[in-house]
Formats: sequence, C-alpha cells, structure tokens
Amino acid sequence: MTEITIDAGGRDSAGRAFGALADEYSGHGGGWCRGESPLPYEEFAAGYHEVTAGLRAACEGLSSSLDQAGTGQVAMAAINRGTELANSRGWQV
Amino acid sequence: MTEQAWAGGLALLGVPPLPDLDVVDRHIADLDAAAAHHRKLAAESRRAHRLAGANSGPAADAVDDHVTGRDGIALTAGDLADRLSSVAGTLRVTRETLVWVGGLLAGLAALAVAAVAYAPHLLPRLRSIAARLSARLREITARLGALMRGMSTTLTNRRVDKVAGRFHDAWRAPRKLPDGTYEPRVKTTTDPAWIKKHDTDQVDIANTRYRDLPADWKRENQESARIGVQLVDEARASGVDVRSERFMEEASSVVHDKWLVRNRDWATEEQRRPYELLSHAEKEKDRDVVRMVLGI
Repeated sequence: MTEITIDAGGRDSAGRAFGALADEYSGHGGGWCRGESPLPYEEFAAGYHEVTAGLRAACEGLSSSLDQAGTGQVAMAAINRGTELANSRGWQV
Repeated sequence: MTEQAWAGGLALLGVPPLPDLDVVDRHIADLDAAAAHHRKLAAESRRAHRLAGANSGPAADAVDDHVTGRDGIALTAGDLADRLSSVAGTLRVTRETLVWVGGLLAGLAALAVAAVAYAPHLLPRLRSIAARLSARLREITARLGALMRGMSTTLTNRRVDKVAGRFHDAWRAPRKLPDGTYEPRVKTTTDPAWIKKHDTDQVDIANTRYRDLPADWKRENQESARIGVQLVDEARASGVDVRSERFMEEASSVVHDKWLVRNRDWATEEQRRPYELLSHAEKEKDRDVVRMVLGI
C-alpha cells in the first residue's frame, strides 16, 4: 500500500513560492526579440521569426504550468488543512 | 575610412550596405538574458518544490511529476534556456559572418574609391568580387535561417508530443487500477520498427507510455495535437486572445472538422454533424484538445 504523508504547511509554502515565480515570470514576459528581425534578409528573417515564435509559445505553456503549480498546491494545502481539522474535531467528540 | 566614404565605396561597388550590427547585438543580448532567466527559473522551481518535500503519496507524486518530471517545469525551463542559448549562438555566428564580409567589403570599397581616381578599369573587377561576396553572405544567412527553421520544427514537434502525451494520459486515467497499472487494452500494431524491437505485434496501449507507443497508435493523438498547436500558434502570431471564449469555439470547430476528415468512416451520426450542432459532451471533446494545448 502506498504510504501517504501530508505536510500541509510545506505544500502551502511551495505553492506560494511557485505563485511568486509565476508572477515574476509573467512580468518578465516573452517581450524579447519582438518586432524587427536582426537581419533584413527574408530567407533569414522567416526562420528567425518561426523559432522565436515557437519559443514564446513554449514560454506561455511554462507560464501556465507555473501558475498551476502555485494555485494548485495552495488549494491542495487548504484541503489538507480542512481534512486535518475535520479529523481532529471528530476525534475530540 | 569614414562612414560616408565607406557608403560611397559600397555604392560604387553596387552592393547594399550591410545590416546594422547594433540590432544583431540587441537580439543576442535579449536572448542571453532570457536564457539566463530560464536557467535561474529551473533552479528556483526545484528549490520551491523542495519546500513540500515532506509530502508523499499519489497526490505528491503527481505534483513531483508536474515540477520535476520529464515534461515538468524544471526540465522545461532548462530546455528553454538551452534553446534560447542556441538561437543566440546562431546569431553570434551570423554576426561573425557579417563582420567578416563587412571587413572584406570595406577593403573593396576603399579600393573602389581609389580606382575611380587612378584606375577606373579596375572597377568592373571590384564590382564582380563584391557581388560574389554579397551573394555568399546571402547564401550563408539563408542557411542560418534554415537552421533556425529546423530548430523551430524540433520545438513544435516536441510540443506536439507533449500535448499528445497528455491526451493519452487523459484517455487512460479512468482505467487506472489501485496498484498503479491500467486496465489492459491490447491492440495490434503494424509499426515494423516497434514489432522488431518488441518481437510482437500486440501492444497494451493502456499500460504503455505515449512515447513508447508504436507509430500507428500514436497517430490520432499526434494529429489532434498538431492541429491544436498550429491553431494556437497562428492565433498568437496574429494577436488573438487565445484564452477568449470566441477563440475556444472557433478553434474547437476546426479541431472537430479535421477530426471528422480523419475519422468519418466510423464516426457516429451525431459526430458527423457540424460543430455548432453537436451536443455539449461532444463539443467538450474538441474543446479539451484546445485546453490541453493551452495547458488549462
């Protein structure tokens, strides 16, 4: 049987740390290399735009993952705390 | 040689001025900064994850996978750092090429200015050398452009595989058994490489990770993922808000149309209808494709 250990405080701290990373990351944004190509040659510019657009799309995916790791873990910790509270009240009755 | 004389020399040679190196340098600096930011993010996400290190169990395993797994945050950030550095490296090679060609053209430009006064008969020869150099520069930069296009294709294929893997995991999730394996679903494959490797044409697709599936059992998920990634990328490139309800409905409609082209033979009566006439449950299947691409 799988052993389950719950440290709601640790989970909450991790969630908040990821939330901060997500905020910082979205602030940093994918603003790099937008606009003009470094070279005016079409055969170069097309490849450059493709690769930077692909990288920016991957960055957006990463931004979502960071956000989920933050909000998800904070919610998980809250549920864990709620369960602990309910259990402790149950035992006291 | 002054800037003006150099430009005059180039005009005599009949070649356009070279691109501004400052612009190239700015892009290199931007890419380097973005790579450094992602490298730092990879380390910080591992540090943040360790704060929850005392947790264990299936839920903790799922978070571990989300952060430190193969497609997790830490590796993705590290991978992006490497790719950004690679693009910066390609731009550095481009810059070196520009400096090299620029140096040669500067010499030719100086000769052209002198030739006008002292040996005009040399000008056609100098022009021909300059034209060859310019053509060579365009050839090299075209190759560098193709190299970056190749990087882009690799990146897109990786994203497609990642999304297709999510489809596969979502499909097999309801089959999960208490021991962590999945209720088997054995199928026959015609993928010769897979058959040779496994010495059988039978594959339990439920208990096989997406990346280990034979090509024929990857295909449907891969096709849906590719269409989803393409729709999202095109929309982002044209400034469309990919989180809007309008985009979700338009993209889901295209996902449905493309799915129908591939699966019309066995689609149900309802599934053959246009997207707008589908039931909520059927529409949700198409929306899930878009959601998976967007990671929501």
